Amino acid sequence: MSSKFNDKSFAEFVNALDEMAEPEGVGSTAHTSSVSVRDWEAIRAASNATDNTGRE
Amino acid sequence: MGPLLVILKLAGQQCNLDCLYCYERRKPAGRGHLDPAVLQDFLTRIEGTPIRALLHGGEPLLVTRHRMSELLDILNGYSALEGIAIQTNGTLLDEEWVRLLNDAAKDIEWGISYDGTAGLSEFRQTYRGDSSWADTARGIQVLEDMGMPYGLITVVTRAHLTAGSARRLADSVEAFTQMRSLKLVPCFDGPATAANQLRTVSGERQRNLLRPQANPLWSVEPHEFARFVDEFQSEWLEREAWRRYRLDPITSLVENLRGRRSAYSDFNDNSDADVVTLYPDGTIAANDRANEVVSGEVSLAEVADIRAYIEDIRESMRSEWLRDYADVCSSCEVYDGCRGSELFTRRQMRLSGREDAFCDSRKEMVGKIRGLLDRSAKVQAAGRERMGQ
Repeated sequence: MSSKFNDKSFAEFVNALDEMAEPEGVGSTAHTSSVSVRDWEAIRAASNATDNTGRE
Repeated sequence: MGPLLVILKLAGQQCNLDCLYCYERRKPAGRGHLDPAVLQDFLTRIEGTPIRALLHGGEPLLVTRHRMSELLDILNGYSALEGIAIQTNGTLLDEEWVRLLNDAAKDIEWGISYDGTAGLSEFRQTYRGDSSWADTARGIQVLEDMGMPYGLITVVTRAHLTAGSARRLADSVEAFTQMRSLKLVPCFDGPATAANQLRTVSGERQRNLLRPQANPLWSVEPHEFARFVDEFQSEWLEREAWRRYRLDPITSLVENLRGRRSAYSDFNDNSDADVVTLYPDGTIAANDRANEVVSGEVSLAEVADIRAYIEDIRESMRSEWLRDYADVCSSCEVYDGCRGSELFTRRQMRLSGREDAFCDSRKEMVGKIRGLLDRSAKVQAAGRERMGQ
């Protein structure tokens, strides 16, 4: 896959992240994976609406 | 400041696995499981302080289901509880556990420790020295089948440094449709790593891989971790996997560089100061890291005012930061992305003579993300031009 594709993918990722509400004071440390689980729901929901790759 | 993260060592250091790099396993042996009365005493004495509880270990699912229910009842009765999370190796997970925890801990957040399939999990082993990844994958499948969202932590070890490892790890999580986050964490065990005292195959293997005055053979150097993160990030972007799960440290770096504030302590100004750990024997500590760098462990019985103890620890960590690290970081060109890491990590790297290498690797990671951000700005500008805006 070309780095151009990754640049485009990254640009879309940054857009999606910018539109996501900031988590409210929720902390996560190097030994907890779970506390960021909910952060991604908005991005997943938006991606399901726009992603036509057939994923999910 | 957010809620205090309370790490509850439900089974102390006890675990059904004996991973070579596990810091918990290197602590002085402790017996027993967390007594509900100890938890109640702790919570009564911090009444009113907002907390998030993390069920941790050793392996937290080693406690009986009855004890787990009692502990969750006590947590649910705490007035300022803001959430419950669990970090487990997944090998003991079954539908009954998932139902019990979901019913008793509303909106519990699931975290699984997973290093990848086959050779990638070489250092996550049973007492007999066997790889444990298949049992963890089975536990993950239970969450998948029940439609439960979860996050993964992958400890990056020497097993991840062979060619194609990032692709193999990315391949192995492709089928995990309920996964919401993947956190890559470096194994920076240094020359002071303590020997496992167990007379088991796993203990002997750990001792055989220790080297005098050198890093253990399972640990990675900072630049090796940065390289793996870069390789995995390429896989993540190529597969557009960001549509499905968050990847750290990449997302934290982007958040910081975009003016958002990462909540991950490794990339956050607040460092690891908002953490307190409770052990089954009533010991509390600021964080739960390796016994090679103990941070303020004290018995609950000797503490008159737990909130004052926590504030003292925070103040002491702030002072240490200002005294030993603030000058280096304030003049650093990548501080806006890096945020200095955790005090624990900085201390560990300085004590083992790897501080410069560590900072260089952070510069490399921030530099790569800055490069991507610059190029993505150009991609967006070109897109706007095409649209005639």
